Amino acid sequence: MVEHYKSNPQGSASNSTSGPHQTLFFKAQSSHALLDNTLQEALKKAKGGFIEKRSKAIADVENFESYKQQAQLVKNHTLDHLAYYLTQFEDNLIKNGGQVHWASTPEQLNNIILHICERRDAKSVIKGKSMISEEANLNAALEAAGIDVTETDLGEYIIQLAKEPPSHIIVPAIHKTRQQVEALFRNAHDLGDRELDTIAALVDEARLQLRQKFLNADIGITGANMLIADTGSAMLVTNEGNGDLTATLPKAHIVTASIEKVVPDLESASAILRVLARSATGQPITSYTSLLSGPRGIEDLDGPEEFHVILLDNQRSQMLGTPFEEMLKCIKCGACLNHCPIYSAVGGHAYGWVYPGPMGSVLTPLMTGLKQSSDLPNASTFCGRCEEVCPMGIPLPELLRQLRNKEHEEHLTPRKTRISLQSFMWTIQHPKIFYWLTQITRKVLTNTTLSQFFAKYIFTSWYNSKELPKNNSKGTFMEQYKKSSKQKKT
Amino acid sequence: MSINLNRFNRVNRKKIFNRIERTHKTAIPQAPKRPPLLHPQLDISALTDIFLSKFSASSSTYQSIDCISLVPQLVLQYTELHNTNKTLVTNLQSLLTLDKSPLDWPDALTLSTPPATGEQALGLSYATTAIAETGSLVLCASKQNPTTVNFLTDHHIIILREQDIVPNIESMWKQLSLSAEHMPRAVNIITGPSRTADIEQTIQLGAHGPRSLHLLLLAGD
Ligand code: SF4
Repeated sequence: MVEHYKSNPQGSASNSTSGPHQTLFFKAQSSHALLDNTLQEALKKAKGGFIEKRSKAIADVENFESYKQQAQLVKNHTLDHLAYYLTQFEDNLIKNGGQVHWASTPEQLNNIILHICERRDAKSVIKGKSMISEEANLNAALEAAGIDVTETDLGEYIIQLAKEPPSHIIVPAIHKTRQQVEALFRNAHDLGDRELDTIAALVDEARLQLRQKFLNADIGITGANMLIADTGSAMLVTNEGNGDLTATLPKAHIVTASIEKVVPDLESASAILRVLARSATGQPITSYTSLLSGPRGIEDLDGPEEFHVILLDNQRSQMLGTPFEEMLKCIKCGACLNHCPIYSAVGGHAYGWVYPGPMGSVLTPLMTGLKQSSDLPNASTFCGRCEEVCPMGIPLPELLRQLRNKEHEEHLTPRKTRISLQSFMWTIQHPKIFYWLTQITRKVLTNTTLSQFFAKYIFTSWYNSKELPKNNSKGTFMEQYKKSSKQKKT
Repeated sequence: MSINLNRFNRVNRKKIFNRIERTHKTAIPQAPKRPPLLHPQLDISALTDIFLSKFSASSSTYQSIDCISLVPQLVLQYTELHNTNKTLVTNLQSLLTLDKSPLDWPDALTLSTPPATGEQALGLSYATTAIAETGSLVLCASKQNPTTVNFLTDHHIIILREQDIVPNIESMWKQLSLSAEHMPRAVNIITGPSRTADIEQTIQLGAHGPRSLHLLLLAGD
């Protein structure tokens, strides 16, 4: 099964845009994150909130499981007929007066956008949140071309000022405290002696600053939560309204989306909407859900003159027909991040690329190459909460396990791990030796001095953060088993 | 850095489709049949109540009215309640189609016609339909209802006829009877004022769009 999937067959192209391979340093980055007090404080504040809101939203409806089933039906069906629905979407969008572009790699997506900017002589771009543009590191490409680019989602704006990547797929600045946001605003805005000591004041300040950007921008770029094949529309889900302003005010609107975002029709989209916001923020629906279908018509009083949709592949077509096709059902709700013990402890940046948490640990190796991110499939305790909360029923732990297998096959696991695994394999294939070893181990464990010695000096780093349990057993399993069967016989 | 965009798209499109089709997920000439989907069922006799309770839960407010001619006075009251300047952007045409007689606007209000520019404190629009399941108002972009009014004003007032409330999201799409041949540029499903929880997960209203959302529910027919 797994063999069908070749890691990164289109060469390393997709990596060059994401800068240095931060994904290589998951371990070092997590240690760093665990010692970062401000980050830990921010993560602690975030923790629980999402979990609680989600479970309340689910308890509010009669049968969330059935909602999930409908959403999964839609995605399974669409992925089975992806080529058909992409073609239908393209035809209908063109009928609506829009333009469709195709990009295999993130670079190509950037090039298409730069081309449109150049043709329109655009000097300034405003952006709504788009994970696809994060995949492509679009902001850097625009800046390099001398174009002024401003993120308008509040969270994205904050991290743009901080020159950092997002640390969560729906709340990008979850790792920042209000004091840090205040410092960033003081540094970037001409504030005089205005107070910024409340969250309300901070939100107002961003509103004020970004309003002018909205009104003056030449091009607006947003993502899309879904693309509707039979109406040729993009669906945009937000709470702030920034996406709609970005889509309405500038003379051209560019939607960046990946190919698996297409769904057959509005009825299908409804099934996904029903699970999306509940899983993400615990709302029945977000403040704004917009269906955008082309440029302004002759009668319209506002809206863009040009409407573009760029469809990005970036390895997704390679996942089809492999076990990793499951990952294409992801609707980027973030529930798996919010419920992940690893993510909650180290935050998003430790993962080193745009997608963190369980879904990122699967997606990042598939998109940037397993070699570049070999720690990520191992960043899991396999507790299974991610799969449990995933509205699309994606078997995240199983996919991580498959990636671990692949790592082993491709000799990407560290030597220490390989040797340990191989010796373990050899031992369990030799029952006598295994039996003898368990007897010794039990003796060591029941002896306090000896076991402390091993914990302290041999397995030092493992027992730094863990306690060795006391062992008072009356023998190994086999010893006890033999004893009891003897007693039964007599 | 100039590329021939048409050629570029043609080549890439072909490559992407080749990769998709290699997995036997081929483009079938006739439409595949999507499996039937279940929709949540609501108590039809209580649609208005369900709608209003969900709508209020989104931090929005409402008033029931029995005559459209009350609108100007209520708008004026709303500016006083929120202590805003008395500037309103609206396309009167849409309101006039509801009632033959023109509305009598008080002098205190300064009216302008859309698009909204960000200078008007209030926007007044008309919802084509509303969803009871989610408590959402649905507005279609048109000459009567330009999108900027929904997002650039500080406070948004929307008129809805009670008989236009439908049970769920699916019935809303049906009510709009959209087709690829006839799509409004934008359909906005609005559920409460603009909000953000991006700073310390604390919900704050009025991120970029309206700080408040008020419904004038026009009773019966
Ligand atoms: S994997 Fe599932 S839970 Fe995680 S973001 Fe995607 S859809 Fe949501």
